[in-house]
Amino acid sequence: MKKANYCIAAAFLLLAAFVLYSAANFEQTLIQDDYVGAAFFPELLAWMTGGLALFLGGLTFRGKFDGDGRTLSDLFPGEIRIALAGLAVITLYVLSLDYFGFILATAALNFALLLLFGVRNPLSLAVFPAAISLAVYGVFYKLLVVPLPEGLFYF
Amino acid sequence: MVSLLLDGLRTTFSPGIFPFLVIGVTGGIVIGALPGLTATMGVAVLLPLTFGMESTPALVLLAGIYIGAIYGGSISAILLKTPGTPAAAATVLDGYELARKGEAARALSVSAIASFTGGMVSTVMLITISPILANFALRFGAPEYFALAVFGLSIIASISGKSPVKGLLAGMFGLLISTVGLDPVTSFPRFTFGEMNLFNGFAIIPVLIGLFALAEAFVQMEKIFEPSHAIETNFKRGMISLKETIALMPTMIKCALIGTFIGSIPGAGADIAAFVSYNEARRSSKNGSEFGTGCLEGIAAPEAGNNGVTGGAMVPLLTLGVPGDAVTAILLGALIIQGLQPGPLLFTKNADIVYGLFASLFVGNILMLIIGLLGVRLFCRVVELPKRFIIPVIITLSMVGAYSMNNSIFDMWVCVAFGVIGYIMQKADMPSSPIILAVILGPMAESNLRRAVLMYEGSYSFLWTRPIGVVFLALAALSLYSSYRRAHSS
Amino acid sequence: MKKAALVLALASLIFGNAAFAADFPAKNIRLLVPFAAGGGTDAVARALAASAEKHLGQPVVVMNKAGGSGAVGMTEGAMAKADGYTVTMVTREIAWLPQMGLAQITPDNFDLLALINEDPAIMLVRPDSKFASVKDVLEAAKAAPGSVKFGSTAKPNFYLLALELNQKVKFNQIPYNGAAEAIPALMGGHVDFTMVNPGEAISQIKAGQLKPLGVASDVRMAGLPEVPTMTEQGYPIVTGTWRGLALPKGTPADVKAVLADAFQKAASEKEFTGFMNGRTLGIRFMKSEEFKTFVDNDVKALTDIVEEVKKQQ
Repeated sequence: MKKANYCIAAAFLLLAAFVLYSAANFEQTLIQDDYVGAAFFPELLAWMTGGLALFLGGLTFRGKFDGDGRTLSDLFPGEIRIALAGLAVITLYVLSLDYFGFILATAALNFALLLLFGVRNPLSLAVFPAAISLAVYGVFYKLLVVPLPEGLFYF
Repeated sequence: MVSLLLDGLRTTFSPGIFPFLVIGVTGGIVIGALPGLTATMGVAVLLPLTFGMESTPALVLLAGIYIGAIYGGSISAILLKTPGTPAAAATVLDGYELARKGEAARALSVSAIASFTGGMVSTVMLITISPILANFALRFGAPEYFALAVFGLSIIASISGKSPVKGLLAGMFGLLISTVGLDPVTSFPRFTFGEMNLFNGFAIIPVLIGLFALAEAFVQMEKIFEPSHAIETNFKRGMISLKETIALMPTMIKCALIGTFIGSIPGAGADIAAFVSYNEARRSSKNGSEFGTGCLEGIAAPEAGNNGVTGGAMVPLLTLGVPGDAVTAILLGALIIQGLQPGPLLFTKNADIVYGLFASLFVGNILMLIIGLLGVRLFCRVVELPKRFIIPVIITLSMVGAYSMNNSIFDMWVCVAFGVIGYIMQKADMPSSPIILAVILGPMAESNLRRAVLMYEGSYSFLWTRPIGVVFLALAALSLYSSYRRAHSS
Repeated sequence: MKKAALVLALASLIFGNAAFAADFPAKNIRLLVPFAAGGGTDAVARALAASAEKHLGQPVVVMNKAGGSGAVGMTEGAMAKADGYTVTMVTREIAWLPQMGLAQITPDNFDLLALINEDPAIMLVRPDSKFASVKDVLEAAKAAPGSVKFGSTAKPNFYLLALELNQKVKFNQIPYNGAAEAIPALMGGHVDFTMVNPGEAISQIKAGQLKPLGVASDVRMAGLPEVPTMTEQGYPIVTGTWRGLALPKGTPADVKAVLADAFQKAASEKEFTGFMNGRTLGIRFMKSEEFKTFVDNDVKALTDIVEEVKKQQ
C-alpha cells in the first residue's frame, strides 16, 4: 500500500502542476470578469490538491499506512489480465459501433465477453448475445426512441 | 381543501386517469433503473405523446414517470452498484454493501418504503405550505447558492470511507474535472485541448456509470474464475420488519423534509438532496460509524431525501411558474401546452387539475410502494444469476446508458476512461462518491461565487452579510467538525 | 421485372439510398437538436417532428446533441452524410459561435432548408421595480455605468450587447444558465432586469409576477399587444432569436425538395401551430433561399457587434 500511496501522491502533484501551468495561459475573451476570473477556481483547487497530495505522502512516510501490508502485486494480481482483456474488448466495441451498427457490434461484444469469461456452451454463446442485443435495441430504440448508432445495414 | 382533494381522488381513480398513473409509475421505475436513462429524459421523451391528451391524464402520466424514475434508480444502485440516476449515487454507499452481504431484499424494501415516505411527506408539504416554501426559495441568490454548494461539498468528508485524505483528494479530482469546459462567465474553453465535445465539460451520467458500474465490472472480471463465496450463495429473502420500519421513520421523515426543502429551491435537485440527507442522517445517528458498511439508515436517508424532492420541485412550478429542477422544467412546458398558466392563478382557475395532480401524487406513491415491494423478489433474482452472464449485461447497459444521454460516442469513451480510473481508485482504497458529489456541486459553487462577486462589484462581504448563506456556511463547518470527531473517536 | 427490382433493392442496400431519391425517405429521419432534451429548442423540434412524420411517411427521430452553446450538435449536423437522413435544427448561435472562436463551422457549411421560428427579446423587471419603462433602465445605467444588474441568459448575450452598443451604456452583466435560472433570480430581486424570449416568461407575465417593459421588435407581439416595442419608446433596438432547419452541404436537390415540402407542410399543421401559439413561440417560415439571405444578414450584424466589442477592450 505504501508504494501505491506514493504513486497516488505523485500523480496528484503532477495533476496540480499541469493545472497551474494551463491556468496561467488562460486568455481574456469577449466577456470580461474583472474580479475572480477564469483561472481563480482551478488555481485554488490545484494548490489544495498539491497540499493534500504532499500530506498523503507525508502520512505514508510517517507510517500511517504501515498496518496495510498489501504490495502492488497484491493489489493487481495476475488475474488483471482478464480485466485488461475486457477493457480491450470494450475499446474495440466502441471503435466499431459506427461501422457495424448497434445490433451487430453489441452482439459481438457480448459474444467476446462470454468467451473471455469461460463460457463454452454453443447454445449460450449463440443465443445470449443475440437476445441481449435485440432486447436492449428494442427497449432503447423502439420504446424509448434513443437513436442508437446505425452502421452498414441501417441498424 | 379537503373536498377538493376528495374530488381529486375521485378523478385519479376514474378509468380515464388511473391506467395512465399505473403506466407512468411502472415505466418510470424501469427508466430509472436503467443506467443512463434519467427522470428528465423519460419525461422529455414522453412529452410529445401527451400533446393530444387531456390535461389531467397528461400531467398524471408525467408525474408518475417522475416519481417512479427517482425511486427506480435505487434498484440498480443496490443490486449492481450502478446508480440508475445520479439521484441514487448516495444509495450505493450502503445499499450495495448490504446487498453484498446477501441482504438485497432488505435493502430493496427499505428503499421502496423510504421513497414512499419521502414522496408522501413532500406531497403533504406541497399541499399545505407551498406558498411559504416558494417565497423562501426565491430568497436564494448567488451568495446563498454558493453557501449551499459549500455545505454540500463539506459532505465529502463524511463519505470518504477509511481514509479522509484520499477521500478529499478524490473530491479535489472531481472539482478539477468540473472546471473542464467553457468558463461559466467568460466562455473561455478551459482544459478542453481543442476537443469540442468537452466544451460543456464531462457529462455527469457517463462519469457516474464509468466510476461505479464499469469499474465494478473490471473488479469482478478478475474474480470471474474464483469459486463463488459462501456469502453469495446464502441469500436471505426476508424484507425488513415493521419494527425496523418504525425505527427508521424519524430518519425518513426528517430526510423527506430536507428533500422537500432542497427540491423547492430552483436548480438544486434530487442528487444533492440525497447526499445532504445521507450526511445529516449520519451526523445525527447514534451508529454513525456503521454508515458505509450496509446499514438500513444509510439507505433510508438518501432514498427518502431524493423522493422528497418530487413534491418540493413542484412547489416553485405550481406557485411561481418557475421549475424546481430539470424534470419540472419539462412539466412546465407540458402545463403551458395544455393551456394552463402555472403560478398563483392556477390554484383559483384550475383547482380541479391542481388537486387532481396532488391526489395522483399520493396514489402514485402508494402504487410505487406496492410495485416496489412486490418486485423485491423478482429484482433479487438478478444477483443470483451467474456472474459470467451478468457482467456482459452490465457492460452493455453501461455503454448504452453513457451513449443515450447525449447520443454521443464520445461519452462512451468518457465512460470507459472513468471505468479505468474507478478501477484503479478501488485498488488504491480511494472512494468514488466524492467525485460524483464534486462534479455535481463544483459548477454550482464556482459560478455562484463568481456571480456573487459580480453582484457585489468585487466585494466578498456577502459571505457574512447574508443570513441564509451564513447558516449554510455554519452547517458546513458543523458537518466537517462532526466528520473530524468521528474519524478521531474510532 | 422482378429480377430488376431485386437488383435495385440489393444495390440500394449496398450503395445506400442517396442514389434513389424517388424512394426517399426509406428509413427513419434523424432531427439533430443541438440542445438538451427538455429545453425550448428541443420542444420546437419534437413538435415539428411529430407533425412532419405524416408528410414524410417515415418516423422523424429527435436526436439531442448538447454542448458548447450548440456548437457540438451543429458541427455534427454539418459533418453528417449528405443523404437527407440527418436534418439539423440550427439556431441563432451558428451566426456568432465562429466569430467567438467557439466553432469551426459557419452557416456556409450547411444547405439551409427553412426558417421555422423567430422570437423577439423582451425586457422584464419586477412589478415593484423602480424602473417603469425602457427609458428608466437606460437612464439609470447612463447615470451610473455598471450599476444596473442584468440577469443574462447566455454568454455572450447579444440582446444586451445590442442594447449597450446602440445606447452607449454599460450594465453589470450577471451570467446565468438560461432563462430557467435568470427568471427566478429576477423574481427574487437578485438582479434588476433581464431580457428573454416571451415564451420563456409568459407564465410570470400573465400572472403579474414580472412586468414587461418593451419588446425588441418592429411591431408589437400578437400575444402581448399591450407591451410597447422599444422602437416606439424611442430606442430602435431589434433583436431576438431564431430556429431553422439545415442539411449537410451537398445534399441532392431532389431529396432536399422532398424534405422542404414535408417540413413546410408540417409547419402549417394545426397541431404544430397550436403548440407554438400555446407556448408563445413565434412562427416565421422562410424557404431555403430567403432563409439564406436572412442568415447572411444576421451573421453580418453579429460580426459588427463582435468587432465593436473587441475594439472597446
